[in-house]
Amino acid sequence: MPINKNALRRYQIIDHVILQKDLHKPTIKRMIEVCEREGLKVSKETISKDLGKMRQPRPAGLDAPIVFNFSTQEYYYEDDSFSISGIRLTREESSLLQESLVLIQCLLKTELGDKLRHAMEKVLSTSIEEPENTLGFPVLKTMEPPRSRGYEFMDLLLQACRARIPISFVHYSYSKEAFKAVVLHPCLVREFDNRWYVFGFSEGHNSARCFGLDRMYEPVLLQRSFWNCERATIDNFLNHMYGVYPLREGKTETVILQASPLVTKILSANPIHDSQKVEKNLRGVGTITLTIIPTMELIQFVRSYGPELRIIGPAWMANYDKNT
Amino acid sequence: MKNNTPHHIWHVDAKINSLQLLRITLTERTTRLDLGYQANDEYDYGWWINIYQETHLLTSVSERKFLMQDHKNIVTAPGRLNYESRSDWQFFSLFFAPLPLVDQYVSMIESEKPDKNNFNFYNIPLITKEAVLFKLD
Repeated sequence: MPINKNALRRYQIIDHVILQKDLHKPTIKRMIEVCEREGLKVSKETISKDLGKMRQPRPAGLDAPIVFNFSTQEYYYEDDSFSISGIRLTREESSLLQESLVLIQCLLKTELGDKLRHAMEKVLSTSIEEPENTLGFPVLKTMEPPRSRGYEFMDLLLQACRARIPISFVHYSYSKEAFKAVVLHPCLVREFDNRWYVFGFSEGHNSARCFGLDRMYEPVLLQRSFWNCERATIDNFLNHMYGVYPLREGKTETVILQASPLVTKILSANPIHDSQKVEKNLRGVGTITLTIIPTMELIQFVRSYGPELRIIGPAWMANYDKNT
Repeated sequence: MKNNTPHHIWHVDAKINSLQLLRITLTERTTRLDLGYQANDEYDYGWWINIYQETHLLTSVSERKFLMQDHKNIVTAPGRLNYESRSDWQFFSLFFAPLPLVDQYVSMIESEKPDKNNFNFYNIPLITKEAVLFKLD
């Protein structure tokens, strides 16, 4: 049912007033008062129409079992457990949802993000509780990296993943300093460290590959049959890596790191991966064990801590760190 | 109204000096060439690129010159896109009148009397059955 924003808000207020029958008499007068308190100017006729609309069966209405008691002039739900929101939100829950909305706004700034935000706002409007913030600054602040190149392809890539449509694009390799035209059968789009990647089966490589959106040019949807990636490959990419670019054959290995007491504390509080195990000696020096597919990003992460964190094993990875 | 006519795209990997011809796209409205330029050690004091307005396509199945109609991410001479570093790169596209949809060899001619700086590609095979179909949004 298409509902404009104000109407939806009024319905929520009516719902709220009826549900609060133990506190206030659920009359039209009360509904008008709450609407006005919420900044909505309404007439008795509007509320009457709203009540009628809410009673109508879906999809035209909300199927609300609203009954009018002539003797008390009150409205109530025939079914006591009914609420048009389905779930009754407390002030705290509403506040939590509002904070989630901030996160979503930060994460997704595409057309998709706008749609999602719109959907979230609808969810929020099921609660008439307004977030209260008189401080003049946000009490929840996330890191907001500038939008990177290639982000504009997000909607097309998501469409290709969902509808299983192969794509053609030109890829520029930063390391090889060369271009290549790629046909990819994309499975999913993934974010890592504020960068976006598309993962799928690359015809040219004859294997699953990951491509940074920032290195992508002019993707187009192709009309040809779609080649699936193996589920295990997708699972590895999603769950068994720190980062997106596997090293060597991309097999799971036991990676052992040695960390200073300070870094041991940090990594104990902020694990690198679900598989992480930490053992400390008496001085607090940690041995961190990960069961993970080694990646370039993992090596870069270790390097970022300088001498306070180093790779002990496997040997090839420890040497990789030293030799490059 | 959306056009459902299939369009054709060829992935090619032709290279002259630092320029790569990557894709040729053929629709009923245009022939598009996607190209990538990577500077190299030759350019110690910066570099620039542009394209001559008279750039055209020649095909083995016609005497006609298919003139450049538009361009993207590049400028026409005498304009220049300047770069400071030899690690810089440029992806750009050139648009020409639509080629016939038949097997053919295509040449892109920036200059009929080329020097080492001109972007000329010769006899790129376009075989219909090797094309990938794609759809316009």
